[in-house]
Amino acid sequence: MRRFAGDNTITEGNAGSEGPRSDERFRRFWDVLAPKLAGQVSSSPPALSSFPLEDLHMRELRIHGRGGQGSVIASKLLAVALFREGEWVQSFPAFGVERRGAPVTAFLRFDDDPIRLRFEITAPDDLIVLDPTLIEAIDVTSGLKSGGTILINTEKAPEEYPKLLDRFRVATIDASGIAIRHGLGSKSQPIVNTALVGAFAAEFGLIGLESVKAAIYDEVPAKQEANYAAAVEAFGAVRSAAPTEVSHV
Amino acid sequence: MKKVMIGNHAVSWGVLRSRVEVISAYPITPQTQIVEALSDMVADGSLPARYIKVESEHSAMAACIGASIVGTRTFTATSSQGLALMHEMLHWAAGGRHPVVMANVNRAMAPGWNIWTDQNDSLSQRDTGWIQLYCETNQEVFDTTIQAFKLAEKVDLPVMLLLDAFFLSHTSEPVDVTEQEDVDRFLPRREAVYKMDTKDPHAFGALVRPDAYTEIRWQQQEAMHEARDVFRRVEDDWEAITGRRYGAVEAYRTEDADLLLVTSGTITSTARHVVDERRAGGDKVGLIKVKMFRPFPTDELRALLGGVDRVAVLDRNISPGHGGIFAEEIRSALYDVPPEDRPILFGYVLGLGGRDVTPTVIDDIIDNTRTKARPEREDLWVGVEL
Repeated sequence: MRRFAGDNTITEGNAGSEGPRSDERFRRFWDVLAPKLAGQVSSSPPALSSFPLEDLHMRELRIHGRGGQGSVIASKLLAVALFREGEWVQSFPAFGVERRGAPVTAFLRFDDDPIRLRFEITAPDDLIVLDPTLIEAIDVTSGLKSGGTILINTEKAPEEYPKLLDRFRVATIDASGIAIRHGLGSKSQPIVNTALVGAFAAEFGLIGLESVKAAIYDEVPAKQEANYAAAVEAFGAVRSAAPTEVSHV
Repeated sequence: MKKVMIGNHAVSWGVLRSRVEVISAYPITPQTQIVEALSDMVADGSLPARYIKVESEHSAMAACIGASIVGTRTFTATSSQGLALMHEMLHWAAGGRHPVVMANVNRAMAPGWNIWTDQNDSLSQRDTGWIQLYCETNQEVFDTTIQAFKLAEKVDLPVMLLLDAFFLSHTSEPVDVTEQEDVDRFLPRREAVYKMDTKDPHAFGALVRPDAYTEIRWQQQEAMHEARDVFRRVEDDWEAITGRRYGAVEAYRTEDADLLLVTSGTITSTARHVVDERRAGGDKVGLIKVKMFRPFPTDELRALLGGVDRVAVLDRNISPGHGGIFAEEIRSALYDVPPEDRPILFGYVLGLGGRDVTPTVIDDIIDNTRTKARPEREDLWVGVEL
């Protein structure tokens, strides 16, 4: 890849020649872009975040779910609750077109100071997974920092994820069961976001239930009481296990 | 009142606080949430305005012009293809001196069909006679929306405020929503000097022959020039109430700098972080943020960039067959700087169609700008994979 096309001194380029013929250019175009258009490779540009961000106190969180589960609202609820606790916040969905049932990603940054970074999160500190089948379907831990926490919506105990526990802290909560008990969504597709927000509050210790309640009453359009009750139940039911290998911090 | 909100809703709140009287719009991604929230506000009575539904963006702007002619405060929002469809009406709004305010969410033009951000949609409307203000944060979006009405109505020119698709439009962050009574002190009701009134008839949009057309354009140009000073005073008034101001151009850590980045929109935020990091390592790099693109802040840019060794302009746009559009305009502004003070200007084209601009990308640009004797050509494309 040429970093600065047009600047031949730092690229292999075509200095001193007339450049490739136009049919050759088209062939190169299709070689590079056709796999992207077909979705076979990531369309993200390379060399994303090698620039040092470590000196920031900022935490970066990625949320994985499926369209319809409430991943984007979850990121907003956490942002509102954390802001109420005095943090600066920034939350956003993966920019694109959302389909019901398809994998969806949302992001959250929070910090003591205003956040100035405006690009997708590729090396998160922690994860929330709204649908446990995603762990098999996609590489949810991509870029996740060693020692980070993965909060999963599942009936399983954290110890049932030994592979994840190699490098990460694992927390589990049966958010689907809780959501169904509180009448949120349908049995086949419960809306699990508020239960996971309650579990997050308990697991991370950064937001109190008062802030969770305020966020739900601000941002959730319907069944606020039931949503808050689900968050409270999840708050008391989350289980977690530390990574088996102590990470080299 | 502080609220966590998306950039689109920061526009809606700004419109609510400005007591807009007529809204007409046609939905388009990623703008739709702006007018969705406004239609809710109109429906529940919190914004006592007339919401006119139309069948296209061309009609939306036509409706805004009509409403503006009778003296009301009017607003619309659009993006990309929608803005392009409005093109004819943009000339009518500006040439007719109607102070319509429009939010445009910067989205790339098709093809390739793309809903993500770049600035080619609004920069394609450069010569329609609209004031253009590019925003960096959701707070700035809220503030600029309210300021835009005051500016527009003082100089009788339409104002377009710009926010990056997704990086602002769909990103939630805290916004201090100024209280209504404070906004009312800043922005009184519109008092149109000339308006369509059956009791005092005037003609609008009549035939103008060669003996008067030039003078009409001249007056429009004078109003554009005046807008620079008026914007300064508008910001003075807003700062007195809220403590916040942005400037047509902002100089960030430019003291003793021998290399300056020039940015607009959300790339600015990430660039501030890179500048801070490199400053901490002793690198004398600074940043110029350009908020106002029309009228072009020529004098400020000459004063800030003249005498600096090197300038790197980051353009999230391209004028095919020429180069990045901010870079070309800045080159032109610097022509009148004495030759010994003229910086070597590197024009980078990047982030098109919403491609991420990360700290690493900006860091590479600074390195490249420092190490090359001169740029090999006017437009240096970042990260092209061909």
